[in-house]
Amino acid sequence: MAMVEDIVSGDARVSEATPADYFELLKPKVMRLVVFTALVGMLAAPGAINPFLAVFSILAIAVGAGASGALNMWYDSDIDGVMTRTIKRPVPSGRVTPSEALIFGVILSALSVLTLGLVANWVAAGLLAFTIFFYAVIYTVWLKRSTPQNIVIGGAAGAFPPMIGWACVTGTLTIESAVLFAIIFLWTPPHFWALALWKMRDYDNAGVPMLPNVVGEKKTRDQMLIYAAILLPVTVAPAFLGFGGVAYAIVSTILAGTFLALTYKVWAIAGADPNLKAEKYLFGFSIFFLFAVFATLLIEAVVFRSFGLSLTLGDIF
Amino acid sequence: MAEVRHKKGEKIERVNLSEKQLKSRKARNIAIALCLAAFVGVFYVATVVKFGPAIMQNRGFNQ
Repeated sequence: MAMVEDIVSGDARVSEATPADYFELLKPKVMRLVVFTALVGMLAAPGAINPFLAVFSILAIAVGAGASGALNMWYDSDIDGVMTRTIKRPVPSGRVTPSEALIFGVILSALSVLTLGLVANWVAAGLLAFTIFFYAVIYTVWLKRSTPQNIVIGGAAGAFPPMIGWACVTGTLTIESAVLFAIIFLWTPPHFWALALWKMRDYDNAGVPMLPNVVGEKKTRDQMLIYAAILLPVTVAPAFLGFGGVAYAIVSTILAGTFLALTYKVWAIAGADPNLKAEKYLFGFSIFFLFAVFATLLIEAVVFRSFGLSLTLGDIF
Repeated sequence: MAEVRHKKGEKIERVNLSEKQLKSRKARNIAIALCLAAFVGVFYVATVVKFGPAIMQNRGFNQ
């Protein structure tokens, strides 16, 4: 009825949104990371999956992750409009209306879950559905605006993709896939808080309770250091569980050790540098860290599958 | 922009889309068509792969 009234009153809005605007709603940068980590989970898992079904599964996971991004942009359009980092997104800039983003997100969520269920299995599909629900409802609607621990709990949503990839092959949830989950889960807080430390004012303006704004910079740095310290053994754990080889053991130790050292630097300097160089460097390195850790697992899995070559810690000790 | 329907016999005012609106609508239509085609393709191939060789075993022909 509202639409009819709009037309009669001359306020009818004819969309000028392009397919690229809708694609932007899917958060392509986040989607890239999701595709990558889900692929690693899929290849590191014991067992085989038909290559076509593997590609379709990854596609479904990517679309599901994108759909949760669209739902996030629908709900967050008010605060996106006051932060420099997000002001150009399709909804706050007016290229896509909130209701269009909502419908787009809901339809893609349903299609991606159903597709994954039919193409792979229903355990993987159930996990994908839970991930979308977790990100869109638990994180975006509930926790993001109500607790400074938003990133910690919200980070779980970003940590699910390798578990989904693993479940696509095995149809189960195992300790190995839980370790992959834990790596991303523990990595998220120091990664985001490094960003939050120098974008504090932005989050403050938007009324989003990020940890530095609520408990202060010192306590934020303390917590970052704790997470980085726990991340070290968890990152190396795949080598001890047998699904990461010796190469992974060496690379992951160096990477997680560097991550801890850089976080310690951020903690030790304690904001004495007004340019926050250490925080910015840690943020940049954290992105490289996650990519490199999963890339090493990926390379080992591909080499093992292609040539049957594998050297694990169990072969040495 | 507005479309107003008057009483029978009177002139109907139509929505005149701008060049940009027409262009973006066409692009959206093409994108939807391509996505639907890809979706059909995914399910066609997935069905063939899931059935495997059994897809060729039609009792009516083989017996």
